[in-house]
Amino acid sequence: MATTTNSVEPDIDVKSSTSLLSIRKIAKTFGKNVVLRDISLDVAEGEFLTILGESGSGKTTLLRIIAGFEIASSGELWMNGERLDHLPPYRRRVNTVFQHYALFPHLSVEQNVAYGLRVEKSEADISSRVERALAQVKMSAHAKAKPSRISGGQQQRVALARALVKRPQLLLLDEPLSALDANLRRQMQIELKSLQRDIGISFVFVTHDQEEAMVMSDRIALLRMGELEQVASPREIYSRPATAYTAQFIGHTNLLRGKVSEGFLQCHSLRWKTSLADGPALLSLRPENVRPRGETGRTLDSVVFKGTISDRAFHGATELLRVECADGLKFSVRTASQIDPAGEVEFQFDPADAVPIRESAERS
Amino acid sequence: MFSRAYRAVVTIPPLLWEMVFLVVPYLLMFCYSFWSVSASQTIVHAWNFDNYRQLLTVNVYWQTLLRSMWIAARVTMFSLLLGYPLAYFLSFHADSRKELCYQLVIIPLWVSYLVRAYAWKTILGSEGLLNTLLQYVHLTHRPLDFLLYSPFAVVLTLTHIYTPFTFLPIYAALEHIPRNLIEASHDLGASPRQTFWRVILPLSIPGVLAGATFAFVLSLGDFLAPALLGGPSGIMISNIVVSLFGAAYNWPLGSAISLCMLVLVVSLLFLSERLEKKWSFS
Repeated sequence: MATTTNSVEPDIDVKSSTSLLSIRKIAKTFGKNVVLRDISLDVAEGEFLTILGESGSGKTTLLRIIAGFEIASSGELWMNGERLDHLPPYRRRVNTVFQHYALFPHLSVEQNVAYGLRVEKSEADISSRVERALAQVKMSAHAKAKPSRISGGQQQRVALARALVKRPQLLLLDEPLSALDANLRRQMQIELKSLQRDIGISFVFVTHDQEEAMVMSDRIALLRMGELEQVASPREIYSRPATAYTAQFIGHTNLLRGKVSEGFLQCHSLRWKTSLADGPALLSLRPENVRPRGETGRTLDSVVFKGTISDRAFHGATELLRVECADGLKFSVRTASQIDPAGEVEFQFDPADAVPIRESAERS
Repeated sequence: MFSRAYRAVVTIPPLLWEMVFLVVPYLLMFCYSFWSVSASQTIVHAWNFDNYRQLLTVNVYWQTLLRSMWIAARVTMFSLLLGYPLAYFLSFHADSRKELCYQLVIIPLWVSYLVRAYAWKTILGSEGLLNTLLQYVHLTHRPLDFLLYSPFAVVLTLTHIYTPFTFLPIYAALEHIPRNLIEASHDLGASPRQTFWRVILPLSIPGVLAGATFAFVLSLGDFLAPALLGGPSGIMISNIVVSLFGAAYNWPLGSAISLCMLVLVVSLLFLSERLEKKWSFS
């Protein structure tokens, strides 16, 4: 086996690691329209992976390929070391929670949950499994109701129970919370996450909401125009964004363009010591890493600048300030302290917080 | 809210329409059905139930009524058997040819019904297309005479004519099924066959009911097909009504039969609407 390089077996790392699902160079085109380009991604056992992207990024198409509703133009899917993409959706040990729930309107809540068990030939203990699944999502009281009689949040729970009762190895969720209002949405995020932790199966969660992705995921796969921009844990993707697109899409950021020469980085009138190689540099500096002077003591190498506040937005715990400097540089600053907006204010940041990033590749 | 003039303009035309074309004719028919015809061929305004009694006791009337219902039932069944697969194919598998296929089903409706019924006459006649062909390939030696002037010819023609009417509501119902329900069904492990029986068919029942009602009601009252192709054994209740109002000059009996048909049809429509409601979920 080791001697053949073009064998149909997946790469060694797929089989030996705890990877459950392995996406190998999946591409999808609709006519001339390229939706996905060579996506390779592994989902580990018990992992909560979020596919994050704007509309049109191909995130839903990728999910639909995993579920089997779309056929990839090229590439392979492997699950547990077996080829998945040759199976029709009803033979895959994968279940989906749909964006608009897709509950069967002619069946009661209970019958909806039982559906996936009834169509299997084994009819054993259906009712007790349905009962347990409904209890798990706190919907036992509505077992006999028709889906049209319950609220969106409740329909969401039923859709979840209907998928989980099948005991899938992998649960796919297609923007399941997007139709809920903000409060319910936050509550469901927490519930969903703790449910996933309890039952320990892998979730692949699709969303366009970066905050949702941060709150829930073990890892985020950021998709941009059909290609993976970055795959990393929320903490890493936030603090170490690889590209300008990532830095801007995940949270707010200040993009600083400068030039490195002889160990110093020059950005407009600001200058600080750096270990970067000579040449142009692009850095991401999070607004919360820029602090008003005096809020914290000045460290030796912090960079100080003066600016006037041109705009401010109150967010409750913090306030987002728009700061303009005399040399044309503009900063977003997130601060918890009260700032007097009149006149020039001094700010500072630690150069270590300005993370070097790549320009995002031009794509069309 | 609205001016009196506006209200008058909006309400008077439909009221007038209903009076002239519905209320007055049906009231007249209702009255006629309780009158009778004298020996001297004049209508006697003497109120009695004789016409209804005749309808129930004279064999030709109730037997023809039953035969009409039996023909209509067969037409309904065959147009469902043809219309459902057609609608299913169009809705789920016609892809880019959907619009074209749809138009192909609809176009015959633009051709006069009379022309289409005549077409069957030339196909089914003893010198017709079908018999000529059968003899040419030596499957038969004499013309098959059950093809034309028989209930068979009536059922065949009516099925051809009313299948688009069953197709349309079934197609609309299938188009209304959210496709993610079918995906959800597959996702939960149901094969395409299971998905059809458990999801698609139940959700298309309102369309099936509407289509069946169209086919049954329209063919039950049909007059042309039996007149042209039915022969003596294939006449239907409308042919009797026509002759009662025409040559036989028995308007009272004709009215009584018409009224019974009306009651039958209206109850059917009512029943079908109730069932459709019961089977619609939204």
